Amino acid sequence: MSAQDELRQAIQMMQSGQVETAVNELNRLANSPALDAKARAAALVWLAESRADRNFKLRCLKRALELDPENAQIRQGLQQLSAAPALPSRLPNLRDAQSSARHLQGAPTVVGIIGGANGLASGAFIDADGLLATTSYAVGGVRRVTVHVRGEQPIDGAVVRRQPQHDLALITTSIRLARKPAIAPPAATAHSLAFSAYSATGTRLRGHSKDADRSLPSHWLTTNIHPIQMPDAGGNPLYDGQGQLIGILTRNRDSAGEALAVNVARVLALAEAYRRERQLLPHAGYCSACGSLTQAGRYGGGACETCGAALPADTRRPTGAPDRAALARLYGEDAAQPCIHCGATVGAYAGRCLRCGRTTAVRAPTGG
Amino acid sequence: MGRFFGRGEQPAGETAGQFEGSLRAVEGILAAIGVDAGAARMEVESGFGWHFQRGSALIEIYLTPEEQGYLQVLSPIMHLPQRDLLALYRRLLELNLQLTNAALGVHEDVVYVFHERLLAGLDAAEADAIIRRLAQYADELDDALAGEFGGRMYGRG
Repeated sequence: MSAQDELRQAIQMMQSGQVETAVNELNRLANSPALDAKARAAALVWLAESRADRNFKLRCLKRALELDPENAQIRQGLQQLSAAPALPSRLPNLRDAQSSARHLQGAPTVVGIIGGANGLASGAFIDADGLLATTSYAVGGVRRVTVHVRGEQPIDGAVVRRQPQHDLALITTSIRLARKPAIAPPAATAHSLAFSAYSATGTRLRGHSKDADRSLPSHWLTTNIHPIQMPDAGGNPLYDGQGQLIGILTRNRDSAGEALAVNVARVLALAEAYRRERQLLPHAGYCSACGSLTQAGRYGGGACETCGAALPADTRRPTGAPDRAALARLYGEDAAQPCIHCGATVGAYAGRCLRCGRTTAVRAPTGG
Repeated sequence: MGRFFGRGEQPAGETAGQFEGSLRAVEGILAAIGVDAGAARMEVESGFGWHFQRGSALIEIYLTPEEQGYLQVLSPIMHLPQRDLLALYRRLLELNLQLTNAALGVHEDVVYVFHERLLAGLDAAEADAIIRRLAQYADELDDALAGEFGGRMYGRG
């Protein structure tokens, strides 16, 4: 078995919960001369996920970034981790979060999602803790949906994260699965792969992936399905011949007008990012307008620090005056030198002050 | 589907005849610009809606009986990018001053170009001009804004 295959196997072990064995392998592979720098960086990223210890994660990600300095995801993860406050002594255990969990023996092939922005949609479980993946388009700006699992009573689902740029959304439910859903290893989502796309309406579409469109970001899986064939708002799980989840079908189109799916690697990456965020920022709220987590409410702010949308009342601190200094940091309003014309410290874009619009010599804000 | 930006419950003031006239006018205009009105129709809660592709832009048209009856023409341009949002918002406000009979706005995570007017007095020539102008704005702005700020164009990869 090649070192690359060993890495794939170790990642699969991590995904399936065999953490101890995976950690031993990942430690070895992170230092293995048989792997190139990028693959060793990937080993370190997965190693970082094996422990909740923030310092351990920081060490792993810093080493990973040294090996793969162009990797924006590692850089972003490191920035998030560095900026996050120190962890509480005891982390919230997501697995125990809902005591009224409903247990299912096997993962349903597809679930129905009702109450989203664009009518009935589909989705699929991506872990044993009841986390569902669907499309951002399907849920839109709603915060709660009704989830239909075949043969079960409808249950409540909370939209907890959206990534409009990848057209993905995550929904938490009180469902618990006896075993992890079958998910294809990311490397298996290659081209010309036959699949079945399932809809909550009961329809099954058969298709195959096409050659990768090099003009598209790599998380998109091109398909030969036309959006007009899709019986619902999207979010349909795609399964390969072995019944493993390989992606989520969206209503986005490629240049030939055929539907694009998000590959399972991107779906799992979002789920992992979400779990990490929840551990690092346990008090963060959810902004339904842009789909990101927000801390503004914690400091008494009324607008999401990512998109500026007004936050619902239940995400805001109920009493006390807003913490202006914390909010200014969060909103990036003190991120730059004062504008020479108006004195604002909000920064500049394309050489013009973002407040007054005049050409200015302010220093451009860094980071964020 | 259907993103009509409603104005709340108001008593209908437009007569059925006027509304039907506007419906025929829109369907005639769609035919004139090469759009099959029947195929473009979409289900909406009240009134009528159509959507069609113009260049890289998706155009949505709504006729609603709310209040005195409204024509809305809008196009979702792009999803908000992850960075430089403040700069983008400022650019949208600057562009708003340059557009004729159209406005840019943000709903949830999507940037729209938008036009709205009362149905009263609307004739086919004006409706035609509105739809063509908005389609042109949308087709130009989606490429320009997505190119500059990096957001994903609506409905595309």
